[in-house]
Amino acid sequence: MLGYVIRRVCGALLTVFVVATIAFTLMSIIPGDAAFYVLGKEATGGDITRFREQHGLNDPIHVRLARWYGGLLRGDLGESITQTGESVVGLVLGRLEPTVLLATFASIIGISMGVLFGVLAAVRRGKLLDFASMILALLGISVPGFWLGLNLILLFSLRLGWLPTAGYAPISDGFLTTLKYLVLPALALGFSQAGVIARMARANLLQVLSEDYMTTARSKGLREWRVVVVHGIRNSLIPTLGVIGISVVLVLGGAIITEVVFVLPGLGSLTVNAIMNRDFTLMQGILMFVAIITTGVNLFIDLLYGVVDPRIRYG
Amino acid sequence: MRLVARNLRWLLLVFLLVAASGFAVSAQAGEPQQGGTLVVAMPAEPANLDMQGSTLNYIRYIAWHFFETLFTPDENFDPIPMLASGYTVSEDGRIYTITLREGILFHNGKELTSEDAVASVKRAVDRGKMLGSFNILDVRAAGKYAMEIELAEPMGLVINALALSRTSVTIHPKEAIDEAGNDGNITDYTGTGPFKFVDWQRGQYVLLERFDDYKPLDEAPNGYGGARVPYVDQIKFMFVTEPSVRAIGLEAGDFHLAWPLTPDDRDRLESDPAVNVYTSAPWMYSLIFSNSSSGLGGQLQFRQAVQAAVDCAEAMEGAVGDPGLYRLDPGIMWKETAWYSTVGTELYNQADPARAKEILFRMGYDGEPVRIVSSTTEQPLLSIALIVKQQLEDIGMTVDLQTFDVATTKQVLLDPERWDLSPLDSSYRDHPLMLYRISGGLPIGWEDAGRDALVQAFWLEQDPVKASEIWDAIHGMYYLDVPIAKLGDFFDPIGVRTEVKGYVNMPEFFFWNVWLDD
Repeated sequence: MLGYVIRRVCGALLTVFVVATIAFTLMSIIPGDAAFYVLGKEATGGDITRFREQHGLNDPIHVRLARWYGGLLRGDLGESITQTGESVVGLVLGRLEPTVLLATFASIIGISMGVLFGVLAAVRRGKLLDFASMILALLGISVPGFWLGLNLILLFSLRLGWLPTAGYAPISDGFLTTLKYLVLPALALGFSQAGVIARMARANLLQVLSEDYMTTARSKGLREWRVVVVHGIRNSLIPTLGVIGISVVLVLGGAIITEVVFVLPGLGSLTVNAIMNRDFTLMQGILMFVAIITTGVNLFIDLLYGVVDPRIRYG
Repeated sequence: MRLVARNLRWLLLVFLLVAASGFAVSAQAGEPQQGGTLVVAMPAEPANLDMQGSTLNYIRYIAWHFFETLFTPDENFDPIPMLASGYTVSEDGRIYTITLREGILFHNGKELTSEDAVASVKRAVDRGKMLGSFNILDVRAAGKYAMEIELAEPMGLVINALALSRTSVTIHPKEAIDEAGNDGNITDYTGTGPFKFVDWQRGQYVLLERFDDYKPLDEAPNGYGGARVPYVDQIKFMFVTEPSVRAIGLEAGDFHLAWPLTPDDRDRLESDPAVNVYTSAPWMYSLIFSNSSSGLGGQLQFRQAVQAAVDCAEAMEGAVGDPGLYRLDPGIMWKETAWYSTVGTELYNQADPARAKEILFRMGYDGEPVRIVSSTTEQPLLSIALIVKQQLEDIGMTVDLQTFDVATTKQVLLDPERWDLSPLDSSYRDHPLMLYRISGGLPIGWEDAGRDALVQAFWLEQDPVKASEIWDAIHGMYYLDVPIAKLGDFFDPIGVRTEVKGYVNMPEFFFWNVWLDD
């Protein structure tokens, strides 16, 4: 077991090192830098040179790479070039709350809507409810979240005046206040997730409903709802959970556009701004943060397999 | 009868009270009043709020509510005192003595003295902004409320430079200057302005609140100067990237001002009784820059052929579309400014393909590709690039249009070996001092000894009439040498809710003297 753990940890560290090198290399070859964003397009050549020197952008590549590795070993992802004086770690951590909350609410909406539509479509196969659910699912997959978001703002903010147009209130201002700002973006993001889940849930449940044990359950005299809910849905959720897991990751990606539209100060909008403004340090830092989190989660799950299933022994 | 009479008296009293309150309400409606939070939707977030460190208008639109300058432009873009009370110039024209208004407080309660003004001006000079080009020998205090700027030679434009919005010689407490140093940005947002900085939530907003100890000038508002009275309790600048969201938020009442609006949103909102739509002039103009240092752009005949071929009306209509949002005007300085000139403008908007072909023939053009570089995301630049490409191909040029994102485009433009022409836009200047190739900066090229001599004379001339004549001569050179080919002026529409009172439609918005009448 110990050997297994050591190998997994070493593999994770190697992964992080490779990602760090790739991240640095990618940022180094991207043309342009943050000078014009910070100084304005009327900046003189002297202004730009001074700016680059201040931020070490003119240093030789091996110097910058060594500085990058050294910072990583200390847990220091550097300072943002455009947001002067702000540490990358601080910026990333400060932007996590909106993204995590958005992804959570969107996933709750997406999963609950998706499972509901999928189940309804399966149990009413061939009926109007089946068609209606699948049309909604198709819309969820096809409609761009950006477009849906704007239309939700038109309806709920402008026409009805129920919800704010854009912006964010942190949890410290009160859960309901935060929720008010997240309802529309979560709906826009969750709707597409719901579409994917609904189709898979329907397909999986239809397959389970046709199994022999389902016929046995009916022949035992169980009511149909009990057959579907207790035996059907529970068994069909196992493969559906796999899709749900993937869709949660996709929600995080979709959050980028949603955050820009709704002016949510999350990791997604931070990433977009860093890319557009060529804030290399910030881009590298965000990339590393996501890589470290992903590697760490995968490492944890790998180690968990070894604990949960004693058959998994590579020592 | 007595009962009726008694009741009538009460009724009359009630009637008079109601009438009086109604009169009071109607008298108060339209009067400036304190209160409320003004919410402004802007398209981007600045990197910092150091006006001395950058020419970006996003910084200025926020920061000039809490930072002020010694002088500021009036409605004619002439400098008038702001934190200064006046100035004198020595007989030899080399020493400017500026007196400060007394009793002006910073937001931290400290009084503004010459020590703060000297430190602030020195920093602006050392950072190489406009004043850095003035060959300033010394900046020093001349008493508690006076300072001197000593020049190596007499110049007539010092006060203009101190007033210009782009030079932004903002005045800070000396402690804030010392903390920032020359290389760092100002992060202490203590100023003397009518509003003070409260909070900056990155990715969301900057929040300001009224500075109750602010002392407005005892004179009428005049352009960006005069009395600046803070009425609203707070100003919240929100960073709303998506134009549709800005427009919808304005309609819904979540924003009081949205800038800029798209032409489609402008058309829609003009019929909304709750919104006023403004187009402020001057604003920007579009032009074609030539790489005058090398290659095709380095040849005068090539630039003259481009100038002859370009149909400005077609370019502006195609790029901007809405005729209410652009105008054809040849002035290198904007029509609304005192420096507007028409010298050389007979060469503007020739739209003469035949003449252009003739020039190309005399030049011996051999089909060498003309490299036009444009960004993909800045409108109307990309549209202009596409239209001009077609116009140049129509006269027989081979055109290679290369498009990149903004940051890459700017990187490419710094390399003279990689481009010949590029569409650019230029935001308005109060004064020719800030024009390209007068103060330095992009684009490259246009090295001309005659132009340099004229510019030098312009900088040194203290007589405004003679300075105007020199400027006319420089203006003519823009059209003869064609370092740029101006296309036309364009404007950004701004939407403002009708409950916002006191708003003045200046080219760059501000919110002193503005109140909310809900």
